Amino acid sequence: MTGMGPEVIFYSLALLLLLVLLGVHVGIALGLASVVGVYLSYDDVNIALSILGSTAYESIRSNSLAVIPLFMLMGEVLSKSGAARDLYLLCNRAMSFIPGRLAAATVLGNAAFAAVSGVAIASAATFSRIAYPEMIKLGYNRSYALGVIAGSGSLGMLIPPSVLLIVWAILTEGSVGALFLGGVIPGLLLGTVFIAYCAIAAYRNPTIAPKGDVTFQESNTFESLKSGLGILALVALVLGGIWLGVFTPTEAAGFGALGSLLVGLLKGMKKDDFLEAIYNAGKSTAPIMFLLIAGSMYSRLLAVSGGVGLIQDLFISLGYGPVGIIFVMTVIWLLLGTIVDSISDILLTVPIFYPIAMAAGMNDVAFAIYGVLIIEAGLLTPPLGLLIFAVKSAVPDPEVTLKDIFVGSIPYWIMMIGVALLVISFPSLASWLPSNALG
Amino acid sequence: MSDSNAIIKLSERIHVVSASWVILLAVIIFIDVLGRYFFSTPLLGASEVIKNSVVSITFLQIPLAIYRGSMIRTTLIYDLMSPKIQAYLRTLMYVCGLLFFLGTAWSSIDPSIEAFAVSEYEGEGALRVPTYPVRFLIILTSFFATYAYFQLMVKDFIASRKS
Repeated sequence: MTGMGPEVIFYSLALLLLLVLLGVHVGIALGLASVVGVYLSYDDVNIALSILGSTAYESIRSNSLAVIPLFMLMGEVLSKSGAARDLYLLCNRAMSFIPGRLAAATVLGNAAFAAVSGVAIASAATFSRIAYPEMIKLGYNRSYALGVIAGSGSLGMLIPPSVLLIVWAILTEGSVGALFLGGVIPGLLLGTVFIAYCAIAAYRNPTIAPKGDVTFQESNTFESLKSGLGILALVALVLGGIWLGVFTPTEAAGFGALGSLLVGLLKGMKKDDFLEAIYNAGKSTAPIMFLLIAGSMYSRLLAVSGGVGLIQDLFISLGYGPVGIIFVMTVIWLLLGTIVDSISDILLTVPIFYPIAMAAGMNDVAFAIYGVLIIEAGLLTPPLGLLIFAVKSAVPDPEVTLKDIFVGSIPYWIMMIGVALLVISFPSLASWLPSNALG
Repeated sequence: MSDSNAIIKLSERIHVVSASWVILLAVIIFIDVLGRYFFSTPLLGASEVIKNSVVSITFLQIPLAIYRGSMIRTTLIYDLMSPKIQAYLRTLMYVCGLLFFLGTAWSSIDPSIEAFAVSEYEGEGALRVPTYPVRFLIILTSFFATYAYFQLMVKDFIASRKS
């Protein structure tokens, strides 16, 4: 007996979604659905099982994947060093002429901090602890304060080094460096729009962000200058190195990780602090790497079963054209984003969507940035807005409700979708920098 | 009980070793890049070491990720269920994990033995790295992960019996 044709993909997709919804670990669900899919295709248990062993060994044996553990380590060490707080202080000085300066400083601080850490959730949590108490002390409106923290946390996924962009590049066999550089202009644009919103809202309704002198506890200008500049130097080293072609992303990550250890030493981190940072970095790295392995199993199934071609034909037969295709993908991303985290969202959809988008003639970098923006916006929507929950659990104020945070972050959601639409309409916003820098 | 604690401690130790290994990677990259730019002699075998390290670090960290519940899942539907159904769903989760890693370990055995038998190497010239250590590491850690899921399932079962 021979196996099934490409329609096997629908059975394995159904199984995958069912397992994920029932709460099975996403990576495990991806792997098992792939095994079942390959079994149905070949009608042979050994071939089906071999996908597990061979993918486990081959899929992440790559130099470029070393960026994930290295950047995670860099982010954890810098969080632990307390440098983020100094950075916030520095940004607050830089923004002193703007209405709602503490909110604007939160955006700027998040953007700068995001440039040295790979995960949006981490920076949202960090700034919940640092920025929120300062804003409340000055009498800022609660929703306004919470919104800017949750919203600007999402900047992290656009500003390199971003784990989402790395995962995307690996899945599509694209260049990590190109996606990193592609995220820079849209990231700066989004940051600028966020800051403009903070300022305009505070200008039109001064009661939500009263002016006043900021008196940070234990603030020490020299200290904050030192580590703030340390972080900026790391950003310049990592991004500048990739940009100028001195470093591959992996090399930049290696230098960044060592540089973060240096900043940590300068900030007086002790042995136990370092150990804790290393431990935490490992804790957040392993599940992501495992998802990548499982995601490649699923990609293999899509390839061997011919499922991608089938779904591609289905999309084309809808007769919507590129705009319609993008619309359908956007809806699926947003819906899926309500039940799974962003990395899983990418792993489940991009192996299918990417070839379709390329066949429709879209620019690969712009499509990636668009996708990441949409998926990241999903982190702000109920019921599973991970950023919302991260802020809720990190904010040192038990009276804050999830609704406060949701309401405050709606404007940021709208701005993100707006910038995403700009990027897909004017792809050169994303593709110009990488094509000029990397040739 | 002390047995299971010893196993979890073991997974913690392995985790710390592999997490610290990342720093070693950074140092290797540092030496490699400086060597290439300033002395035009890149570090021999750096690329092979990094590649194999990525796989090893990941698999060494998986058991603790399972024990600490940091494997990514969604609890959207789970949260809406009654405690009894939640217990069934947890069992499903553990069984799926167990099957996955058992399958991974099982299907890795033949290729690993073959790699050992024919002395499969990679890299060229003076530095050739054998592939079997990483292959066997995957088998060992996958069995460890299988056991972790099994142990959690049994623990969960006993706990729900008691309550």
